[in-house]
Amino acid sequence: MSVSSELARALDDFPSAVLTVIDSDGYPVSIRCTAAYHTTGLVIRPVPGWVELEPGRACLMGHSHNQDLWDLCAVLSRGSLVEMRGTFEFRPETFSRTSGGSIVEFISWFRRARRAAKTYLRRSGIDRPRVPWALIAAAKSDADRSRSSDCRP
Amino acid sequence: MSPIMPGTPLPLALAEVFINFRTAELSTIACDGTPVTVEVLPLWQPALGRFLVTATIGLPHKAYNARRNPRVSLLYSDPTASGLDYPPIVLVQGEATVSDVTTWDDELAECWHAVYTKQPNGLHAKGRAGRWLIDWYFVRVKIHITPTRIRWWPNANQETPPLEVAA
Repeated sequence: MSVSSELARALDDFPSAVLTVIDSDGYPVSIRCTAAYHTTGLVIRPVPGWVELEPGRACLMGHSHNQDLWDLCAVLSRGSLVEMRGTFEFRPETFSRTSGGSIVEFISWFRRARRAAKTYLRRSGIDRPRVPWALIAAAKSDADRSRSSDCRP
Repeated sequence: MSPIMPGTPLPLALAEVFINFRTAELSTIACDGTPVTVEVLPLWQPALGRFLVTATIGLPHKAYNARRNPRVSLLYSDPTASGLDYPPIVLVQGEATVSDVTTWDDELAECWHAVYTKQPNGLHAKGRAGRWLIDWYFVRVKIHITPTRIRWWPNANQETPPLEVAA
């Protein structure tokens, strides 16, 4: 399966995707769009006039969550945007599932995150900081209490 | 571009989006110039005229990117669970600053409260083993975003020209 078809299949799970490019001032700019599979990439529609799309580096992502901000699902693809006969096509180079996926993908993600954390601390030259578990637990209890009081009639 | 100063009046519809949306799409720029967009749970700090996003050091790429290139954006485009009917889409572009590693301060206290309020099953750890496994998740860097440009689409239709908050 090509990266394009894998990405197109994954994006089918979301009502729309988010395309991000860099604008003429050097800032990222994102639009909601649909991305339809084409043999060489994904055709982006609509392309609003205000965004002044130019061929160049781009990313395409999709994400979703439920009412409790859970069942998180997200995919991300880095690539480039090319113009073809008046339409813009996203050419993916990478595809990754950044949330959701199988248990194997989760374990792999978890291991990568632990490694990345160790690397971050080593590069910053700091020891593993102590996490204030009691304060975090209190923040959760406090949020749980305020949510349940909001639900009372 | 100049920052939008704290106290700049915002339309009520935008304030409602910043308070009630569960997520926004944060875009940073990677070292090869590719924009990278991920979903985040931002905290709006109206008194300070900025937004706060935190990153665990286990998923540090947005922090690395924002340190290297402070130009970032937040797109508020997914109203799921916001309780708002027909909210606008809002695009905030701005300049980011990235803090040192931290595990607790007043801002993080506010962030964790927001996380657990909006995400009741949000990750937390009980027991020594669980805490040892997951402590990296609670070690954070703060990314403060000072807006330089805010555009919005009242009907959530980005095909139409946006409205813009005057700086």
